[in-house]
Amino acid sequence: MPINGATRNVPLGFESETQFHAASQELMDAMAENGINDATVGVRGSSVTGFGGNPRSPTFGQPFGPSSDIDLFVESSDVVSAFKNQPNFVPPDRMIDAYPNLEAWSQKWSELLGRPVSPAAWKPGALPSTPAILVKPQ
Amino acid sequence: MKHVNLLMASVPEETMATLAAKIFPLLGVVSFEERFGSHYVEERYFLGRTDQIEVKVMLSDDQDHSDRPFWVRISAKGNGMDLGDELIEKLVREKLLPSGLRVARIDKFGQVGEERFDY
Repeated sequence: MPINGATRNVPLGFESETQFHAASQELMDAMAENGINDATVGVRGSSVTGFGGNPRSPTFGQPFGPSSDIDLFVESSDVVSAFKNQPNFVPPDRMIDAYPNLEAWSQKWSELLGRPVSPAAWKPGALPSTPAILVKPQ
Repeated sequence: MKHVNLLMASVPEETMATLAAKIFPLLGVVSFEERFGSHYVEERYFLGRTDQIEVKVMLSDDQDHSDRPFWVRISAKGNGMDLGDELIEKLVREKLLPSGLRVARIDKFGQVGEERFDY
């Protein structure tokens, strides 16, 4: 489901909606293996907008291309509570340190899609109001 | 150990790009690329690989470690190299510190129970 002005249902870099939903479901399953059952999965960034959308970034306005990653995330209170100071955002490498099974997920989808595909986390309510695609649980 | 997180600062101060250009050769990484992603501070990072390791150079944006703003993550590829304490200490003391870098290793980075070890 596109939100915050997103206009596509499938992020750039995926071959189909089916493939995108498979990646999302596998991420949700990997989180559930860690006892995280409150996660909503989504994706944001240039694979959603088609270009770098942060005016404070040197990539602002650059089109999604071979050097662009695919940035999936989970929104979860349970995840954030495992981190000091309950941050609004947990970057992907810290997620993989905390939940090592996410590495296999990331490697699988990075190899399939030919670019880094990584999982971050947002505190519920802290997701920026920029375009994103949320995935409803199957 | 599969992953090691090092936080660094440099005197004189560097940009992420100049620090990456300094770090990768010290770690034996011949070629590297700049990549773009919204998960990263400034929406970018640098990524390099050898046969045995993958190295990412990022900004950490962690207020608890603002004296070490650069985050260098070294990962063993596959089930090969063990990035044990002795290997990392040797790398830091023989290559990174003599290059003017100030280095700390962070275990459980960002998690409750995080620990920092300054070299």
